[in-house]
Amino acid sequence: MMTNYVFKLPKNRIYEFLNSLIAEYTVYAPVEGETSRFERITDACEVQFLPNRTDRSLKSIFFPPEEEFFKWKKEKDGYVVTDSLKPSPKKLIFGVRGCDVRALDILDRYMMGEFSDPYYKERRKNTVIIGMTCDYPRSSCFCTAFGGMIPHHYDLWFTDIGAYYLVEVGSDTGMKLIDSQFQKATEQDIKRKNQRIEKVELEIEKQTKINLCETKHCSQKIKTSVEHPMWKELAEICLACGKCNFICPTCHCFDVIDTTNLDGSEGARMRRWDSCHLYEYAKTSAENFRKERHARVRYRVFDKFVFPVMRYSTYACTGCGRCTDICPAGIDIREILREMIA
Amino acid sequence: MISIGIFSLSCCEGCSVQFLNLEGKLLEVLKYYNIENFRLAKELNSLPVDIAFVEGTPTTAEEVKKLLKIRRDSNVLVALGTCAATGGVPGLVNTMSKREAMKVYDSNPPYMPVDPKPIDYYVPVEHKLYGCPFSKDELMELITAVIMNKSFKNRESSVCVECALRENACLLDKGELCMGPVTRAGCRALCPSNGAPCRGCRGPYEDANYKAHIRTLMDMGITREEIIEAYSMFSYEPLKEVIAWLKEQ
Repeated sequence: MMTNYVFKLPKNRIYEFLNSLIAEYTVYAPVEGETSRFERITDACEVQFLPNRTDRSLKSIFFPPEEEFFKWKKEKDGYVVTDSLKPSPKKLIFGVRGCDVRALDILDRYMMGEFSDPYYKERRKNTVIIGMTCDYPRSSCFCTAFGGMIPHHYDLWFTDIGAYYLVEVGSDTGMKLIDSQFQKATEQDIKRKNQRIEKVELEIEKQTKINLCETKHCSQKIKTSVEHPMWKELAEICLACGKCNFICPTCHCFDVIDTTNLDGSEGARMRRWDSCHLYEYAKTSAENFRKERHARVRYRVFDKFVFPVMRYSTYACTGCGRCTDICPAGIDIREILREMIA
Repeated sequence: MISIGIFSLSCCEGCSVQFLNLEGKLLEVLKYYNIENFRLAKELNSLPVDIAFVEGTPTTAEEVKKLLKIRRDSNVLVALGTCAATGGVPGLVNTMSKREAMKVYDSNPPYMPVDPKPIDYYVPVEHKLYGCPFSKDELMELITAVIMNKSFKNRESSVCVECALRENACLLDKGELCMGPVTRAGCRALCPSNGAPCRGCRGPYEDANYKAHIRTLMDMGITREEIIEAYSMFSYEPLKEVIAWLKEQ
């Protein structure tokens, strides 16, 4: 590691640092309400320093639950279409966890890869990510199965090392944010950071040890378990409410809806999140391909661990454990994986 | 001009009132629709009509006859609200014996009711608008669909879906008896979004997993009696079998 790109910031300077960011960027940071989530903040004192991930992911900042594409109106000489795509301000997201940064990478592949979504792209571009190491894991966390807490891409990464935050720089944009308040980190500080990360990752391993390292091999194993009796058992308890899809930071399905006024002279087209757990999801004019609930339960798992491996050679899961936390029926993705891979 | 009529059978007439609650939109609707029959809002009423909106459920032989006449004199019949669509609250009478139910009247009961059933038990129904009262947005959707000659379909998902789309915190997590997981969507999760658990006023939907819902509620420590009560309130008729199964547990 090059020590030139590692700094430290005294903890009492964090508010000053954040306020300087707010002056330049639209800043989103964890805010605790009924559920903890990323919200736009206008003053550093609104930020809550949570010990681990938020209840809601970053997804809705870039891909809101409901979004209008365009409006149309009948004028004298034909229809006039107004695009609802607005230029997006420079964003900075503070306090992102490793699982969420990874999830954003995966979401980017779906939304800006072979198919490019202009609405997502507009919101996503010019986004600065300042991440933070978790203090301790949640009971549902299992990010170590996907490579641990620290992702590959970030602009700045903060780790709590006592009186200071150790700050790692991951990009040029990140480097520009480093000002005079930051001090050079010592070998000792880096050692403390590593110890800290090791400790938390060990904690996660202790509560959930799932070995998914051999991506191809594991996904193949899951793929061949189409007839596994577990799917039917899960279907018995699944409520098909779609919450696991909506909360998932990498789920990206949406439904397109047209609305008009009574005479059809004006209207709008919008999209709304959709869920593969719903009966209507795979319904076509001829056939409903996933009528049975067990097929839908299975499809979600396949769409996280099989299909993305075939397309992008990566899992579309980052081990954040949100689906486990939110499921009213108590379905635990880790139990499914253990059953499939064992 | 499309002529419409709003008819009431046994009910609270809340759906008629909801029709008037369209307020500004009602004036828009009146550009395309002519209200021929609406006892709550008009003095002179007539039949036939192109579209008959029927609220409530027949509980007397006269009302059954009235319903049959409405069907004969209309092209499209719409079950307006949960009572008409699933039997709704009047269906609660079916949970007990008639004699028992009639005790609510101090003296002699006015008449012995027929079993409250959803109106499609008696006559074919083209469209159903669920809810107590129905959702104004869905009514507008239906009205637009008729003018534009498009199809109208009810949601085949649960209130949970709409609740999750609004990113609400789950009321089941707070230990509330929420009927969201088995109740048909379309209300935009009005009650849960305002902190009140879903009562299931829109009735069940096709894909509902009752056993899983009951299991979840029981795991939370909610008693069987409370669940039976919640299930019976709006949907005794469609959920008769589930409630019978639950009683056996």
